[in-house]
Amino acid sequence: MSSVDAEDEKLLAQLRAEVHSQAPPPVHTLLDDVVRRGRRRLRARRMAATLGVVAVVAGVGVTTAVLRDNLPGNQLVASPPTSVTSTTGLSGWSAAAPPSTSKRDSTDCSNGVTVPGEPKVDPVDVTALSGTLLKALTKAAPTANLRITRDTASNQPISSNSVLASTWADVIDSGGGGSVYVEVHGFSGTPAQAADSEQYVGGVCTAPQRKTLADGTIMQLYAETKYDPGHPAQALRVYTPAHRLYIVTAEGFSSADWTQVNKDDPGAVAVPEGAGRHSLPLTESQLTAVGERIATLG
Amino acid sequence: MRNPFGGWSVPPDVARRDDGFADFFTSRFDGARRMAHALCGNWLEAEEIAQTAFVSMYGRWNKVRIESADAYLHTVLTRAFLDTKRRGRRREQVMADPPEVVVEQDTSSVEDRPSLLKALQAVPARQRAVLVLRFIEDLSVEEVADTLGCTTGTVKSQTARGLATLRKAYGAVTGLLQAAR
Repeated sequence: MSSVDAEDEKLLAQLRAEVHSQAPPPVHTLLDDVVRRGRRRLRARRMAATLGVVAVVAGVGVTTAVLRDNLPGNQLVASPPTSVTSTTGLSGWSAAAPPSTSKRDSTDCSNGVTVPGEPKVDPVDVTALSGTLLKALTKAAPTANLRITRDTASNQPISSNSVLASTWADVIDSGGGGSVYVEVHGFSGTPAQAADSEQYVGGVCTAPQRKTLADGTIMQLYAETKYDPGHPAQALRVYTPAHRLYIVTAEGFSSADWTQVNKDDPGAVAVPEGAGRHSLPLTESQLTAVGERIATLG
Repeated sequence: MRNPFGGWSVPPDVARRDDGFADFFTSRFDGARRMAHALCGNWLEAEEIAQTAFVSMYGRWNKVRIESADAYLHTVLTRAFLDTKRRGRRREQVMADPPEVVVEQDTSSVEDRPSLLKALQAVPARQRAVLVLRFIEDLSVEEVADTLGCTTGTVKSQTARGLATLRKAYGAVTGLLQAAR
């Protein structure tokens, strides 16, 4: 290229040498973190597309109904209300009402971005998070063997979709090895707005159960899911008034089930198909107790 | 084998995709992080930019041909970097305009030699992206144009401007201003 002369070449060679001589710190990103976030984004996109189709169909339906209603002598029979089946027998919990607005962000609804404003992305004290998780688990599951297996923190989160921190604990009891994973995000708007926007974030169109705590924290409990019979999972989303979202997930596998994918990269791990305890390590009441304790972090 | 990502339903086609993606992630993440570091000059930020790029790639993985996966990675990584700069600018709007070229002395290096990598951070983000893609990642002008979604003419002009700023910034560090050039 004409704009690059010999002097520039020398400068660029020096730049290249400097870049290649950099000794990077160890990688903290795990394959499963990336896949987890990627999958959430994928689900959100598919859901947004589905909602778009539903909106069009609903629009056509409403128009037809209005037109028919306006015809003389025509009386429509009202449809019965749709009932929402409760997934839990926990007291103080009720099915979340469907969001009042159909407006959703088409890029990613997993992080409350449908709500106006920038989510809070301040750094999280991951040591306090891990400590609180361990204390909460000790109280909720006193007979289980518990230990933190991994935690991560992002000191300089760069996007609203950033995982600000995460921590993973093994929960091992007579039923086998399970774990509880906590992921921290920020959200904008009120806890209720954020919880509304993420009611169907898992791609399952069953209303989650909801409970509002005295300080305004909203906890949203989703039904158990089984993408692999070996390791089912159940998620609880906790939206605090401090604009922190804690996603607490009980998993049917422990760190002992993790298998290294690449011997040169200790961070690349996976759980083989079928591995796991074939049940959740916590009951719904234990999971929600853990969530309530984590909510005290604010 | 599949990955432990929290327990939502995984159709078989997604499980297959994950296997291919895992291989790609394992072999490319470190390189992507290095490129991001050249772009932003900070390892923590570089890791997050690389992570954001791979998250974005995962969502499109079934549409990515393996032979073009590296080119796509360059695109999403550069976009993730430029997005962070855009967001940063929005947050800094209330501040006074910064001087045209700001270069901090590199005190982290044990060597006294001034850092070109630091000087590179003084180059405007888009020009910096062109320089990194062109001269660190060794892409052709056409490939850089494809990556950034612009014309080859734009790449050439951004290269010239970026190099001029780099020279000026490096000159400010070394005290050898190459203004005559």
